[in-house]
Amino acid sequence: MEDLQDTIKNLKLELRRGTLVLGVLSQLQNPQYGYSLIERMGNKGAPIDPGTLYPLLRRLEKQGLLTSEWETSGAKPRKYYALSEAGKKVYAILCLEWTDMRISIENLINKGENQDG
Amino acid sequence: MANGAKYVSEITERYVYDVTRRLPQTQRSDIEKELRGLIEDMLQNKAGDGEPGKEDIDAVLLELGKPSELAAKYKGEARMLIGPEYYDTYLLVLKIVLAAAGFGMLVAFLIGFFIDTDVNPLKTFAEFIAAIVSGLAQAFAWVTIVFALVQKYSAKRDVMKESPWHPNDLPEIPAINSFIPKSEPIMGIIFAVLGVIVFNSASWLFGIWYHGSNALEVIPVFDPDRFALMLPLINIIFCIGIFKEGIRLLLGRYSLKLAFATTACTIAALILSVMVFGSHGIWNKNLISALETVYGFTVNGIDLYKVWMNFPKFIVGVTVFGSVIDVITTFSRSIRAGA
Repeated sequence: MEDLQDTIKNLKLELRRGTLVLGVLSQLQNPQYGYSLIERMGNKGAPIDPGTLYPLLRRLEKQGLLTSEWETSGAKPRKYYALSEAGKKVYAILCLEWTDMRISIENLINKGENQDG
Repeated sequence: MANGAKYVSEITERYVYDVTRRLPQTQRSDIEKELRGLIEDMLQNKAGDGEPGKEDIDAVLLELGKPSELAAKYKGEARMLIGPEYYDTYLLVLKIVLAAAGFGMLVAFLIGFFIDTDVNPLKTFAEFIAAIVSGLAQAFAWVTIVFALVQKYSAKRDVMKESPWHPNDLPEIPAINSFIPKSEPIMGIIFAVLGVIVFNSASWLFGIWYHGSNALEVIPVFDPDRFALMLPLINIIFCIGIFKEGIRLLLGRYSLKLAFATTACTIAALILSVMVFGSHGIWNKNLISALETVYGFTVNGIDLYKVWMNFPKFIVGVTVFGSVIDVITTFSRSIRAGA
C-alpha cells in the first residue's frame, strides 16, 4: 500500500513538473525576485519549492527566456527576473500548447467517463 | 536572544558555503548572494516581526534541503559515476578482473610456498592476505576509474551529436561471423591480469631453475636492476592490452572503428615492447656463463653467447610479426563485416 502511495506521489510530481516552466513564465511579465515569486505562486495555489525555483530561474536565464538584474538600492540586494523578448514569444506558444493539451486531455477523460456510464 | 542571532548567521553561512563550494567558480558569488537573500526572506516569513531563532533557521534550511542536492539542481547534470548503459559491462569486467587477480595471486602464493623451503607459514599467510586485499582493491579501483572516464567522455559526446537521423543511417545487420565471442576478450583480460601479477609479484619465475647444493636455485633471465626500472613500462603495456580487450568486449563486433582503435593499442604496445625487451639492457648478460658454471657443458658447433646476444632481436621479430598478423586479421574481419 505504501508503494502505491509512493507511485501516486511520483506521478503527481511528474504531472506538475511539466507545467512548472509555464507557471513560472506566467508570473514574470513584470520583474520579480525569487522569494516574491514563491509567495505569489503559493498564494495562487501553485506552490513551488525554493530549491526547485532558484535553479530553474537560472536555467531559464541561461536559455535566454529571462533577463535578470540586481537591485541593490533596497535594504537587501535582490536579483529580479523578467521575461526577455524571446521569453514572451515562448510563453505565448506554451500557452497555446497548454490550451490544446487541456482540451484534448479533458476530451479523453470525459469520453472515458461516458464509456463507463 | 543574542545567542540565537549568532547561531542563525553562523549556520546560514555554513549552509551557503556548503552549497556554493560544489558549484563552478564563475557562478559562486552570484548564487551565494541570491541564496543568502532567499534564506533571509524565508526567515522573515517564518518569524514574522519577531527575532528569528534556532527553530526558524533550522526549519528554513530543512525546507531548502541537503546542500549537495541543491547544488546538484543548480548544476543540472546527472550525478553518476557509471550510467546504466555501461553498468552491465562494468560489472562483467569487474568480475573477470577480480577473479583473475585473486586466482593469479593465489597461484603465485602457492608456487612461492612450495618452492621456498624455509618459510614461516603464518607470516607467509598473513602477507598473502594483505597482498590479496590490496591487490583486489587496486584492481577494483582501476576498473572503476576506467569506466568512469568512459562514462564522462561518452556522456559529453552524446550531448554533442544531435545531428538529424534518417532510417537510412541504420547499420546493416552484421554477418554472424562479425561477432567477437565474449570469451576471446575475457581470456585476453585474464591473461593480461595474470601477466601483471607475475611480472610484479612473482618475477622470480622468469629464470632457469636448477637443483643447487641444498635447494632449488635460479638464474634470472632478466637483469634485476634494469627490470625494476622497466617494470612501470611493462605494466603500461599490460594496461594497454586490457584496454584493447575492453574495447573488443564493449563493441562486441568487428568494425572499422574497432579495427582502428585496437590497431592504435597494438602499435602503442608494440613500440613499448620493443623499447623494453628489444635492447640488451634488460636481459641478464651473465646467463650463459652462469649456465655453463652450473651444468658445466658446452654445446659443440653452436655459440650460445651469440644466440643469447641475438635473443632481443628474435623477441622484436616475434612481437612485430604477431602484431602485424593481429592488425591484418582485425582489419580483414572488419572489412568483411562491413561488406
